[in-house]
Amino acid sequence: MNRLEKLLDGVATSLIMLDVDDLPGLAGIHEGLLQISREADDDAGIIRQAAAKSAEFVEKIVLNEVPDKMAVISMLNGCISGMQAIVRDGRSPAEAHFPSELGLTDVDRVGSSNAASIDDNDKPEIMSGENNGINPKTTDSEDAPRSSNSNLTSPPAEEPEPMFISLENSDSSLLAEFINEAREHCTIAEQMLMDLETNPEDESAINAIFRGFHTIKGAAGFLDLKPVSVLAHESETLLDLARKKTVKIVGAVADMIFDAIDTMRKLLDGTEKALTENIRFDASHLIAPILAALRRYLENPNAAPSGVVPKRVGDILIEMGIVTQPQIDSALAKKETPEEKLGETLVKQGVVPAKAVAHALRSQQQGKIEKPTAAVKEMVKIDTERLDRLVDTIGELVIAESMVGQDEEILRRVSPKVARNITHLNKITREIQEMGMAMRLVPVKPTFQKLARAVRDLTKKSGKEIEFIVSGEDTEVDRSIAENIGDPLMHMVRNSADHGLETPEDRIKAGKDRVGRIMVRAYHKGGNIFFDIEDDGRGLDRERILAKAREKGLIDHNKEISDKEIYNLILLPGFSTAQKITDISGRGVGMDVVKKNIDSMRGNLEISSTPGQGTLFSIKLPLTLAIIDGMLVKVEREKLIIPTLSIVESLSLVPDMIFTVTGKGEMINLRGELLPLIRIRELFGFEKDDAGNDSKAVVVVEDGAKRVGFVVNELLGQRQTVIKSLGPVFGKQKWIAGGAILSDGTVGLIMDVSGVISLSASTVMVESEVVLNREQKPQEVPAA
Amino acid sequence: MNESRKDSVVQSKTGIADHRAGKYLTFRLANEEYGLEILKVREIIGLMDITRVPKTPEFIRGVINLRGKVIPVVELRLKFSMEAKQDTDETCIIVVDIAGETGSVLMGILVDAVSEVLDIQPEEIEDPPSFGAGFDTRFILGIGKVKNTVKLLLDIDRVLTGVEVSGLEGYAETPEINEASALTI
Repeated sequence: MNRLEKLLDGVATSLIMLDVDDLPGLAGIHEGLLQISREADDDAGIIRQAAAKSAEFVEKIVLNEVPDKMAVISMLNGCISGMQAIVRDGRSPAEAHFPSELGLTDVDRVGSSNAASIDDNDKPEIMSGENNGINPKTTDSEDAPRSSNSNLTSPPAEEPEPMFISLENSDSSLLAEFINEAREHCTIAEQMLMDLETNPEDESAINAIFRGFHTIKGAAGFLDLKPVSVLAHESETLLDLARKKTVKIVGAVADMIFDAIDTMRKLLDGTEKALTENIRFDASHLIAPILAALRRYLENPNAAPSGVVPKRVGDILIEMGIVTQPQIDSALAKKETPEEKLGETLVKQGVVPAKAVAHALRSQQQGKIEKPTAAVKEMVKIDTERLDRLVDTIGELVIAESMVGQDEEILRRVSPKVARNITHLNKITREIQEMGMAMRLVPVKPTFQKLARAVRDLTKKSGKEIEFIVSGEDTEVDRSIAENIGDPLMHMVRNSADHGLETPEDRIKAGKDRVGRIMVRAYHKGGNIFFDIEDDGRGLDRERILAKAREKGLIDHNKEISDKEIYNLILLPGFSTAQKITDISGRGVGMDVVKKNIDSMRGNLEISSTPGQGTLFSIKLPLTLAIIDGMLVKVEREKLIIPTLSIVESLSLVPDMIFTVTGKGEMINLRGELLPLIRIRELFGFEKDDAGNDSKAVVVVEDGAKRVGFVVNELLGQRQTVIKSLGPVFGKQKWIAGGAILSDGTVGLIMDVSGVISLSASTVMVESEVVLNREQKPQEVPAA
Repeated sequence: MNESRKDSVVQSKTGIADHRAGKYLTFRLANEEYGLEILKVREIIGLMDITRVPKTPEFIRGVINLRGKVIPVVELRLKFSMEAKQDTDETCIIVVDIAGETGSVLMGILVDAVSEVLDIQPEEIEDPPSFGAGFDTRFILGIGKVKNTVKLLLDIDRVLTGVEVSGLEGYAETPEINEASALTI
């Protein structure tokens, strides 16, 4: 890898990880760009110019001269990829697709002969700013950042046709329906596009994407949404070429369609906003870049990059041991025209026999494995609210059924025939209940697809090579889990990509395959759902975590702790061993938030890691969040439910077992362990039941490392109950987690064990309790 | 009776449309008559088993199962600091739709008895009188004078929004105090 390429990669990585307010980071990028500009030796001077221009923009960000920094940064990203395309892949400047906002003046003129033909098309777009403006440079640079947000006032700088969405005369309900539908088409198209990544020849996938755009185009035309229909039209044209096998949807073409889908989404968001806020939405800036790219490509499909196929020929040749990296580099440098194939150059120079190149090309083709297409099931869309209502109603039905079916008066009188009918009713009711529960289940595939998309983007930006492997995409989970697991998974996958995996060079040095792997699995095991995120990167740095923990005073200097305990340290708030907060990971949710998310789903996160070989995060979740296993207990006249998850054991209470501390705090000796008792009746202030069975059972519960005994009157047995929120009125109390509808139709309260324990601790300030409480809190002490 | 009604119509300022005018569900608390905007009322149900939630203010009677939904029930007598009274056959729960901070919330209010639905004309409504400091009348929309009787028209959002904020704070604070003390020891 030559020096320039390395510099570019360095800048690219820091740009992705950049926080807009991170001044040292920006300064570093600025410095890097200037260095690139100095070192660039390409004859056309394009790199030199692009780097210098980019540096100017970075400076503008530092000086706060641009309104939308993120837009400028994404534009810079485009510029860097352009330079990378030239330097790394040996593309011509015209193929590099520099963002027009950059204000490069003669990209097209210095291009290859192919590029010359599109010169005329491109020039007006780039130059228009200069034609209509006084002081063209500033117009360009100030307009650039706005390109990604909907600017309502300024006329479009690059796009000749105005693209307004004005909803004055449209039917809002039709429009809302269209937005929903179009979004769905986008999602499907994206999924199909991901499938195409592995199998670019899959015609049904191409057709599906084509149909999606076609439908959107038709509806948008009807609704007079010009930007949407124009974008859909151009994308459709491109896809039509793919259908006719003129182009292949790989590499840059796939990127373009991905961009088109993203832009389409943004357009839809904008339209929705315009619809709800009743404003005019100017989409010109939003769609100008993608439209330009699409049109440029459609003008001359052969000029654009044919796309990077799964593996580059050079890499395969290196793997085969026929050539070395320096040989490839020198061959790339000597290429006579940018269009010349690497293989040809190598053969011409006599470095490799033609046969070896042919072999390499063949194995490149084999990389595209045939994938069986899954059978498509017929689906019906249902409003989630209706579904929830249905499930609620089924719950009611079950209760009503059991009230009738178990009514003693009825049972005493009925004839065998009625009894048989009641049994039948019971059976059907239970079947309906199961079906209702099953309807809440959704496959994890869409969640995984989002991850795949993120990894794809990361791979492009960071210069790392990542293979993303998923299994168990069809595993079904409760809808609420599918909704809530996305963010934690995304975070962990980004973590793995950013911190876990090494750069290709480091990997080769460590004797590993240069392509890093991230595996995500979902599967059922023992009544639970598991999500595993595994990478084969460098593993967690035990010593660094330990050093950091000691530095923060989280653990005792001399205490020996197990690997597992060390790994769990990274789940603490504010604990990050990353040297720098980055965009890929480190910002947004930290591992502590991941842990909190998983806890809130009543799940469990385990970390295991082998230095040099990788890390495995394993998440264990209950099958559904809506149902909780609980022990129904009676306290005087009230019925309460204690979650089984927290229960260690239960025993009957003999008065002799109890001894007191300072006459107040009660404890029992449970096989050598002193267990504080909490009398639920007294704590909750329930009236004494005159029917008079005295307290006689202890439920031993666990909250973290802390154990206490709840004294109740009677255990009524295990129940599976549907948790119902008590609503905002009770949002601030911590001791009741929710309500459950009991079989008699009344509401039973589900206790929050840790809430009850801290309530008790605050009510009865017994010394032993305080000590226990302090033991439970050590992690929070330094954080506070 | 008719005579006096006519008088009141003549006395009131006519011609000004009052947004407070409209249909009200009236109910009784002790010997006072109250009115609830009919649009706020979801349904009226008879007394059912109410599960008391421990360690919550006295005026929150507890929660009920309303066809699979768990909703809180507020005892309006206690909320208004009136004397508590044994439930009777006439005691009802009026389910109302409250505009909370996070969207609308269903809540039950326990009242002595439900009376009738009244159409109250603009000219029958007067602003609530000021009783001086210490008596908050913000939750009263106005006073309806119908057929010689007085109906206190409630702004039920105001009455019950207070429930979430002030009602439970006292209890929510205790665990924090505990944490603080645990840290200082």
